[in-house]
Amino acid sequence: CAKVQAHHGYVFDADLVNAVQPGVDDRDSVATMLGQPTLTGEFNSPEWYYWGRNTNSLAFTRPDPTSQTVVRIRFDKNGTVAAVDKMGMEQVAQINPTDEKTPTLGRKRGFFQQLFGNIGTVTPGGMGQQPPQ
Amino acid sequence: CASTKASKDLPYVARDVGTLYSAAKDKLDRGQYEIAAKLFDEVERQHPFSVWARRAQLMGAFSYYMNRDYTQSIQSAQRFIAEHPGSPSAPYAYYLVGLSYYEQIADVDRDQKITEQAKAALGELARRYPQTRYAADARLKLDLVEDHLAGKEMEVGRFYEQRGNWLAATERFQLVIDKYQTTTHVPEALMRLTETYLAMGLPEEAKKTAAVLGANYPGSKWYERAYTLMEDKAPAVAAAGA
Amino acid sequence: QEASSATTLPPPQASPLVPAPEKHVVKSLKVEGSQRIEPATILSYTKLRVGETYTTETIDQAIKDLLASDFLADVSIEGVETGNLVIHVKENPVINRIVLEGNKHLKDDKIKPEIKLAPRQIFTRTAVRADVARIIELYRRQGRFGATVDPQMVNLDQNRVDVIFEIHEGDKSKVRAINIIGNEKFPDSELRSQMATKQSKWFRLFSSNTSYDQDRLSYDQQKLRQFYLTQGYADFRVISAVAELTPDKEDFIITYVVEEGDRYKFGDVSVHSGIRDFDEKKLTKFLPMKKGDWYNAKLVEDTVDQLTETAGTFGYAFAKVNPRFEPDRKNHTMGIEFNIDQAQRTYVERINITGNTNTKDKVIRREMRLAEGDAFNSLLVKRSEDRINSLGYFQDKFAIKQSEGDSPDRIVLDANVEEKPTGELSLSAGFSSLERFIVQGAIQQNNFRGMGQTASAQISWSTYAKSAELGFTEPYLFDRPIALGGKIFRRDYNSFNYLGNDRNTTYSQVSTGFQIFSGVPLTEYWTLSGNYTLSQTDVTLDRSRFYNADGQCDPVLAGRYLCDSVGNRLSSMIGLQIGYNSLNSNLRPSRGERLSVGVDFAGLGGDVRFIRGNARAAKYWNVGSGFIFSLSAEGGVIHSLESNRGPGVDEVRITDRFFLGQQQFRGFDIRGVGPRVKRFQYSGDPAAGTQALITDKDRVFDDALGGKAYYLGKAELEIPLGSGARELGLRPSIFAQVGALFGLKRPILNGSFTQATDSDGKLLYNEDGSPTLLPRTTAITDGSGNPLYIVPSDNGDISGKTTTCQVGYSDTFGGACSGTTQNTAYTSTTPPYYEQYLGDSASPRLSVGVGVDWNSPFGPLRLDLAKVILSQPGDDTKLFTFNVGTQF
Repeated sequence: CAKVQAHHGYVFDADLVNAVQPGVDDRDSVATMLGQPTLTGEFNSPEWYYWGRNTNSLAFTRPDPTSQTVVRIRFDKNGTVAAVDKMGMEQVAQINPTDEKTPTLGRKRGFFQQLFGNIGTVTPGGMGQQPPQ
Repeated sequence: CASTKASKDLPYVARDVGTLYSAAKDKLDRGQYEIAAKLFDEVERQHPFSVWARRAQLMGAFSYYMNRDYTQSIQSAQRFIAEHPGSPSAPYAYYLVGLSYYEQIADVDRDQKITEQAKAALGELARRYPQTRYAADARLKLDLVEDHLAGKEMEVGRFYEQRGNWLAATERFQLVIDKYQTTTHVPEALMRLTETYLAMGLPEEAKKTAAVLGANYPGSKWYERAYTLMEDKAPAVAAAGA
Repeated sequence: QEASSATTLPPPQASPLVPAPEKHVVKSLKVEGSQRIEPATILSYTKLRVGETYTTETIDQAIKDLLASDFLADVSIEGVETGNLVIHVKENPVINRIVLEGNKHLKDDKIKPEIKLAPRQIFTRTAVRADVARIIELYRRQGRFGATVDPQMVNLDQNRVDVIFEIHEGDKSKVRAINIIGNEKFPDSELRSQMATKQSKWFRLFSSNTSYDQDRLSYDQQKLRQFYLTQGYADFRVISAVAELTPDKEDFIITYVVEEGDRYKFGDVSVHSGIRDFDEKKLTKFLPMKKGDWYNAKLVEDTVDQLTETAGTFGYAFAKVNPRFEPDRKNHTMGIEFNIDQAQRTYVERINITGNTNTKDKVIRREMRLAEGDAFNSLLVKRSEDRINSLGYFQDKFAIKQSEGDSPDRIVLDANVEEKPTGELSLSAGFSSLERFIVQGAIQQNNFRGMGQTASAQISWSTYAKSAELGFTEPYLFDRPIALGGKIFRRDYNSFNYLGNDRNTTYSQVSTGFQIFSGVPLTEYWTLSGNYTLSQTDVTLDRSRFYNADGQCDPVLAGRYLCDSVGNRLSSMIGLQIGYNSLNSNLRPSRGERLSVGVDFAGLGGDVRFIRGNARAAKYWNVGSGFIFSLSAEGGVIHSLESNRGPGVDEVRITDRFFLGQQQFRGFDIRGVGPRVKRFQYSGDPAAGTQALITDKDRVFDDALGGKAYYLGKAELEIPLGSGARELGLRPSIFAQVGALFGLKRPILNGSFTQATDSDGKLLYNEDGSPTLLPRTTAITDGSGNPLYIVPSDNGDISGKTTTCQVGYSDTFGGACSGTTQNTAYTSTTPPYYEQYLGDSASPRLSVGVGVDWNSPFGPLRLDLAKVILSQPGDDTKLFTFNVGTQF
């Protein structure tokens, strides 16, 4: 049966991406041309990533990627573009997230409270709300 | 048809302040908080200018709190603060407001508006009266509230991971690391980022994150998981220097 | 003569020298007269501190600050010269009670929440003035412009005060007439119909918009302008709009002076796009207006929305489309250029879900068709809204708010929900012409544990059906959109009909069993679902009436068709269904389609074997201004796989056949459509030859048999009512229905009675020429089939006993007879009747009618008035039906 096509992340426009030249462009010019990056690297070396992926799947299975484009832009100390590399699906890994969780507090709603939780509030039949003033 | 609980004040019976106050105090000691709260309100209403009125206002708020009627308790306490900002027991009133919100915090699956209000109330108490013992307890509870808010972000992040939306999950876990550094969720967030970066095909970022996790939480089970993940999912990158 | 002209000008006032403010030092600071508020608090409102310097300005400022604190009635400071300042204060009283008097049309509970003053609060003049204004505003909104409110203060001991608002409501000032001058192209009446304010006429007694209201006046002007622009009069202007009081000062007369100008045509229209991947030529081609059409402002507006929407679907959430008008006054044409500003593609920064106090975050988030980081797409946002609305857990008008994120090309989506009680603990008693008296108890939690699961326990008891059912459904198994559910049920139907006015049960059917079902989405709109049902059905007939003496179902009495369905059967059935659903809400759809086609196969073991197909489709249109038109059709066919069971007996048992009648097919009675057997009794005495068929509807024995195929179509138009009626939950609609139930093996009819003959053997006929029929007497036999006799009464202790001896008596059936008593045969006589098999035809029955759904305080009520236009002989029609109480 028909597969569900979907696109996540950045929508690429080829000639815009190619227009970014190392040594010439800087952060502002890239931002005006490509928009804000999808992701920035963490901690001390903030690279800019433009990440977009196409997936398809049966409606109830997990979407598996069919194609992907990643553009990484590295900046030198004074903010001009140092390197632009394009990547695809090569380094994508198949990951199953763990089930373990860090515990959190908060009142757990008891079983019966959830069943009858809001039954007490009897809505006034069809009377509906006040007429808007 | 739900019976309409008599929420109006008690019928307007004028009584002298002494008997009213002691009757209320007695009901409070015997644990009949609802009636105690109503009687304290009566003291305040019939003898607004007596010295007892100020005391009754606070005791009323406390009775409502004990009766788990948190909204009423917050209202009475806030009215006390507005009318007697300078009074020595104002910190206690702030504390009551903070506690009333704190008690209603719902679990992470649900709306966290109350948690935000608890954070604001406890924060104000800690800022205004830093030395009082209430502030000490408030600071402790503030950490738990921060942790709870971080827990909410993690819950949504895990939701997106389950469904394979790795980018959405990454943004949520990055938020936990940026905004909630002091909470107990940071190690797990770092491990989750290792997972999502690998799944997004960015092993270098995964390596950097795992390195930070190892540096700050070497013994944690999260680092073990991250380490093994790097080993079998991106061995080349894991081994390479830099 | 003027007074002496010039008086000497007064010497110019010597401007008083501003004395340099001497500096004083505050030696001491005391507060007197404060009872309730501590002195420390009062001092905290002023800037005066002991040891600080002060001047007259700082003193005035201190007094102003104290008065502004709302706690104090008046303030004075003395000892300014000596430096030890004493602040005399008189505290504002505290409010003890608020009383409203004279408010007939606006009750207390409408006014009290609107005013600020409340018991135990500080009384201040400003608050009282504000509340007075607030109350007057409430009355103005009701159209009572004459209302006045004056507050009274009653001082009590301990500086407390009771505040009494004396309200004089005055009566409503109405709009007596609306005149319009300068309109040649459109009559006054048509223009008046555009306006919200209506002239007060007798038939508009209750309408609230005949009262005079300024802001409605300006709204009407806009409506007028909009009407003319839509008709193409680009130069239309309202020169003046004046409301004068009528001479008797009771009501108002409103006069508009307008200048229409000429009608315009469209000049050349084009699209200019600042967004990279928008193709201007293609968009221009799709513009709804062409050069030379009549100009229409509304069409321009719709096009702007349309273009913004298209930009939204391509991810440009904040794209701005503004039309540039180039009017050519001479030959009345209006050129338009829609230009789309340069915009960057927007991405979803964050999706916030708030207000969910009961529902879990993921139950809502999984319905969102967008994830964080995705490119914005307004169609997907609309689709998400529809899906969340269809959950049925939240308020009706739920919408996702869009706001700008941290940077111009990021957007934040806020889904703020208001939980609706989804748990229904309904104990309702109802009365319906279908089931007479119904008592229902049900606990249904549609959002169990906030996980989106449904858990239900329903018990329903009516004179017609008793059923108990426990159900549970999990829509998202293992967090995947795989639905799994099950229910166990026990249903006890007894079908009855009326002979005269006593109810007789024709048959009762008790089925117990369980069903499990599962469903998966194939695409955004298509879903595939399967189910398995195992149920045990036990059909019993009323023994005394339909069984003959030796315990067999007597076809003469009950008819062979009923006899064959008696018995206990196990049915094990598997079903598969494929569905399409693009409705904007499953509860009250106004747009979109729904289609489902399914096939069920019974025969995985069990005694019942058949294959059944059904299909259902519906489409909804919002045809503007609240009218919702819907077309729906359904049909089904069943084919038995069991071997032939003799002539006149259909292989499909009565319990598995389709039935058609009231509730689905309005205008017909219970199971009023389709194949049935009608049995007419004979009146009159056979001997006297005056027999005739009784055709009075109540005296006819009518038993619906169901059919093996049916189709039913419906066209319905839902009519919007004024806000008043909608508030009461009234939803009237006009409808037309067409359908038929048919396809059944022709049953062999009973009722062959011997014709009476006179003493010399000649056949007797009634006056109307029909043959005179004799009642049939059938002998009653004992268990082993030999006929029974009754001993006549005058025979001592054995009189009236039954025995198998025709002469004499024996204690046991079939034993030797002793004695000479002549016994009479024990027989039962069946009066003659004539059976007719009717209604088995596929030609359509047609009914039209009007109905109203009323969400009344004691449960949903459905009233229908439907007239049958086309029907087949034998169908039972019913003009008026109503049903109260929740429907299951």
